[in-house]
Amino acid sequence: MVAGLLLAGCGDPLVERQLIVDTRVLAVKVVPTAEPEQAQARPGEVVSAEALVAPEAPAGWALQACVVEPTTSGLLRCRTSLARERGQGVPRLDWTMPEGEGLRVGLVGLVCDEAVDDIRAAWPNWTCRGGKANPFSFELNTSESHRHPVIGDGALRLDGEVWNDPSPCVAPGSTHSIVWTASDAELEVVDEEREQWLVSHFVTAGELERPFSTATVDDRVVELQWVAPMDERDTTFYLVVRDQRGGVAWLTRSLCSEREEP
Amino acid sequence: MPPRLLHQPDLRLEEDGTASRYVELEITVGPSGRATDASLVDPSGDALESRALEAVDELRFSPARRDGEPIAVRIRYRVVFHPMKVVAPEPAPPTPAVELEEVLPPVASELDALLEDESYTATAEVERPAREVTRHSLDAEELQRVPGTRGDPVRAIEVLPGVGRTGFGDGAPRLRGSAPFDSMVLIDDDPVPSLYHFGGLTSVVQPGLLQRVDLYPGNFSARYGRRGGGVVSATLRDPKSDGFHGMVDLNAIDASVRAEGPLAEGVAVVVGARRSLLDLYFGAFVPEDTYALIAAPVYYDYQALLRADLGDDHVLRVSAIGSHDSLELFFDEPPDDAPSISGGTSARQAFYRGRVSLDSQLSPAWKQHFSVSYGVIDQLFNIGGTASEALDHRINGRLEWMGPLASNLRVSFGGDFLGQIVHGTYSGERPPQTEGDPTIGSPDNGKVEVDDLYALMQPAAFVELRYRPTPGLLLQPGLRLDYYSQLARVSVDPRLVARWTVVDGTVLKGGLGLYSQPPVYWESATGLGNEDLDVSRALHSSLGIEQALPGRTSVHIEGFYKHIFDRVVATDGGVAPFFINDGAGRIFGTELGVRARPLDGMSIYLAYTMSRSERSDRGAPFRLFDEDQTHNLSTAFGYHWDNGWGVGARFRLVSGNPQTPVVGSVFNANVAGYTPIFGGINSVRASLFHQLDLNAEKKWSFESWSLTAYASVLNVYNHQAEEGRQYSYDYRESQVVTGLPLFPSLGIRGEL
Repeated sequence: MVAGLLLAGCGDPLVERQLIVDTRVLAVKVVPTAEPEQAQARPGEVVSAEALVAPEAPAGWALQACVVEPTTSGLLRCRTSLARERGQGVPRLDWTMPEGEGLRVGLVGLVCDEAVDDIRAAWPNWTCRGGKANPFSFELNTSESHRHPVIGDGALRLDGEVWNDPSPCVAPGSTHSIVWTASDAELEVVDEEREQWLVSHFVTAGELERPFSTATVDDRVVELQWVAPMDERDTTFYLVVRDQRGGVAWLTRSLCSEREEP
Repeated sequence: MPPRLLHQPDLRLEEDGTASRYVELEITVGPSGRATDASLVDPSGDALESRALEAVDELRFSPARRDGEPIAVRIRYRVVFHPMKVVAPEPAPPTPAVELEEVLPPVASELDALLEDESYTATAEVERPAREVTRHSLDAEELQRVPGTRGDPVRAIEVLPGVGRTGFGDGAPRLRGSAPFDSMVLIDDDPVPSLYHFGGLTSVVQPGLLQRVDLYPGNFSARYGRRGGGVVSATLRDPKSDGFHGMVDLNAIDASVRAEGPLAEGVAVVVGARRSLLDLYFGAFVPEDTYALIAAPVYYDYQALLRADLGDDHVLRVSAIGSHDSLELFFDEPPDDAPSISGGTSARQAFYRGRVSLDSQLSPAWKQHFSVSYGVIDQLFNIGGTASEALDHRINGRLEWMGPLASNLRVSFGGDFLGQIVHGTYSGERPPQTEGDPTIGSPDNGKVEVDDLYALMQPAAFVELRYRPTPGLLLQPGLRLDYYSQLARVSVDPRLVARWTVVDGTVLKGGLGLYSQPPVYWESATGLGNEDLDVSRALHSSLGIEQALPGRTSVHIEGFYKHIFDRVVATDGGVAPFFINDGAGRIFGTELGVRARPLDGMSIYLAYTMSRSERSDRGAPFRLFDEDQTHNLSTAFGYHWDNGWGVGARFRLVSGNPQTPVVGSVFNANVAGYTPIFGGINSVRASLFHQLDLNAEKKWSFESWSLTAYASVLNVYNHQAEEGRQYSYDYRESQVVTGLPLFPSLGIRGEL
């Protein structure tokens, strides 16, 4: 136990988590089509799932919604399939939630750099045709009524200015501050306390100081420092907010780094 | 006036003949006239030695006196063994046939000289006769000098066969391939939650207060139960009664003090305390931006013991010991590789215990031991989404009688008791099985919250016979019955030990016995586990030989096989009832131990254990145990000159622990983390562990006090031992986590 404590947080990460260099799933969001602000999926509802994939929509994907059962491995295991599709572009899947009390419902999937190869085996043993396979899963919250987090218009600032598209251009190697402020009103009450949001942030280039932050009612401001890449290129910034109860929100912003004309 | 012998036991050689033989001992004759603290003057491993030591309990003296007052003295005895039947022409010796020959200095002036010599009045090692197939006893004073232990005798058990290497940051004993929790740690016969402070560098009792550490790696006595592994038993020494003494020790890790002396006639007390100094410089070793605020690891411990002689036949001991460890770390933001850890992490482990014991001589041959203790164990663990806290009130009791039923048959019987009232809270993932589950820490194991108040009683009764059909053969059958109130079950554990002195210096030994162990708390707790669990059981068997060799050398070779059945494992899928008795285990191996003192001041230890420890879960094929160490070689050398200088070295070579490889990963979008996909459980190994430790000391002795300066270097050549593997956030890359680097330590100790 103590060794774990001493080692926790020690040592440099082998790979910078916040830097996106190849295809990766960053988040999954499931919404009832009739009530998209809700994070709970109730029996009989039609729900729609979408995965946020960076740095661009994948060339191939496969998704399956199913009733899941627990395993000792920590991985979801499908017991009954509810829907299954494969495709290209942004991964999306719609299905109707099964009737029945206490059923656990999950979404399992795979994104590929090229195309999906074979999904006849049980997930996560699906394969891609060339490139890296990126299996992912998401278990729906079926028991707790609550809203998805809201990121808020104008809540994200770059160097003190509201950061909206179209994005600005910055000098290569320059240092910038990125600030996002959570809305006090959006932090719901859970067990008589205000919920805590887990905020993850990523870039496709440059150096972002860390991959995770937290937002609480006492500290709603997430402050980050980002150093632009040294070469001239476009960068995408991703912000994902989780309420850790199945509620998710995200936004992306892009900006360019280019030298000023002499 | 010197002590005078009043009573001696009846002992004989096992063979007929004309020649007598003897064993020379040093013993302390107390004011009551009882003999204690026996040690061999020149141990050779001869089988007669253990018989001579056994006889000490039954000696009775008229005590030595100074100015008419009875006093304790340290003297030498020669225990003489006559032949079973004298075949020589001369008449048989008068009754009693076997004599204890006193070899006290003949004149009072020489005795006085001995009394004034501190080395003769200090408490010394007690080498009790073996009750088990294998008992390794450590002379605390000598083993404070074993390199690599920082002068800690408890750590010195690592140079003994059957003891596995403990991991960095840990210190729980790994005995003969058993899991840490399967073995019991005792201080004065009472279980304590841990043997070491955080980090495993230091035991929870300061070294100078230990009289002895006994290690029973398997086939232990019916006196002990509730565990299926082994026993490490530390015994506190009595306070010195020959004057006031003090000690101050300061080194890079901690500082300690001790004071002791007589309070009244027949009453003496010792008190000691220690505090870590790590917090003074811990921050220098932590990356600056890792933590926002650090409360460095802090530990302290304290001990107090009073001994009072109540007349001639009763000794009362009252003791209090305590230990406290705490650690707190606070993160600015969630660590990169553990997004679920937010806010910080903290841990606390403490125990406090008071104990009263009464040892009574009911008759010249019968003894009674009674002890009762009350203590509290306070534990807190908080990391990320997992938080647990428990306050565990415990009462331990023991009542035991020992004495002869016939000239060749002794019995010990009695009972012990454990009562617990625990209030605990737990919030976090559903606890996995204690071993063989690489998904420990997985965010997908399900969350539970428990607030529980429970009480349990575990009374036990035991009986053990020591039967010598011939003087060279000892048969020791035992039986233990345990009741577990939380399970409403009884276990019955028969045990048998045999020792046969084939010829002088050669002992064959063997043992077979059943050992029962209740589940750990959460495995049978309401809401966390299965209330209908049964105890798990282990069958211990061993066969070995002890051989005395010239040069004060003894060799011990022993083979063992242990089978575990009804082992508690998680259910498939982790579904209710969460835990079941559907696991098994098997452990087999061979131990070699050599202890030698070829020269005065020189000690050599060599231990090699080759073993294999395997487990099976829910009927699956056997796999390696998490901490299987196929090869474990440990050797230590120490030499101390008469001028106060001493040096030592220890070297260890141990198989790397098994590891479960990660063959892939899945992004868990609920928690923004990756879940590893594992290959075969424990199907690969960490690299070989090896480490050299050195120490040196110089002691200056003055008229009434001494000063010792000491230095030790752990991991002299800075081997980067593989203690684990750290993975990238998505488990696609990994690097080795290394253990303790080169670790020098300096200290100074003054003793009065």
